Amino acid sequence: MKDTERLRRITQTLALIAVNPYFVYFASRLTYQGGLKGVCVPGLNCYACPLTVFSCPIGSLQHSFTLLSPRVKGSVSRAFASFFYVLGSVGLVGAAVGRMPCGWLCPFGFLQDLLYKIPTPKLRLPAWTRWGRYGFLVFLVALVPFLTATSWFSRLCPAGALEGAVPLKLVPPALPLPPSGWFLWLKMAILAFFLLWFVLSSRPFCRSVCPLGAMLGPCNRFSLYRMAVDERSCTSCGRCREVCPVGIDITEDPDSADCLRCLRCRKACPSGALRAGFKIS
Amino acid sequence: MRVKAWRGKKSSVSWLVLALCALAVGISFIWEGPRTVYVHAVIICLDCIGLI
Repeated sequence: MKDTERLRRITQTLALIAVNPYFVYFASRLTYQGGLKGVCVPGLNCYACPLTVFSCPIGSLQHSFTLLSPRVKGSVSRAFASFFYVLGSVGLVGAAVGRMPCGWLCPFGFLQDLLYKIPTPKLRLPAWTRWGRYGFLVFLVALVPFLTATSWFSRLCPAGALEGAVPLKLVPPALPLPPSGWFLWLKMAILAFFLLWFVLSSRPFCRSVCPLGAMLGPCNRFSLYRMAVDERSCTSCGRCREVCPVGIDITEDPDSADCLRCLRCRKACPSGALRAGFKIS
Repeated sequence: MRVKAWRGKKSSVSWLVLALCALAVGISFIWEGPRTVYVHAVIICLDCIGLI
């Protein structure tokens, strides 16, 4: 299992650097303004982060709904254009590899993996919490921004607090920002809550909150990259379930929308009953 | 080997979804979808950093 885990750590680290390489900010105090900012990454990485050169798919999708809002006039074509663009971009990744970016690329997932390593008593999440991420996607990313023309998921998002608010407070940009008020402290409290939760539970944000996971998860059912179980080899030892970061039994449903495709189960399987790839024979 | 996964139409569904998503991205270019995302992303999102 160590080989897969080492490879995954390397991939996650490289993805973190690839998405946030703009160290020029520390000298110029100006955020990146180049064309890559129009490209959505398949991971939760805040576009308010001063180091990032890409766009957050959830922030962009939410912005489409605010543009579509009856409160915003004359922006319907732009709203649909960005909606199709973001949905198409996420769908391309999902149809190819399903939820694999959650397990191998997402910086926020990486943070959760690291914090869960801190030795403390651990909390198991009930299975019903998985429905939370669909709720956040429908209500906070789509419905509420549409009705209020305000990006409420971004306002509450702990990734924005960690990757955007904290660095920008520590190293302020050249152009002055508005003064901070009580809302910043609410955001910091939400971040503190989630950081504590990351220590206690395995991948709680991915399982219960992440709207991007809610979009990519169902793609596991039909993606080109797939997992399969050889029922004749499987001894039902339960080792795969023990090592699964999201607590699923892959032998029950290899195409589960919860599966992050991290492949820990495949490596842990003593009988080699789990297969993964674009072609399974 | 007997595998516990839906195999039959799976690849065709994947390719169909890939094609539809590529079409959606292509169509979005007509109305400047990437440009809309870009214009929103290059400004520092005050909602994201809690300065409202």
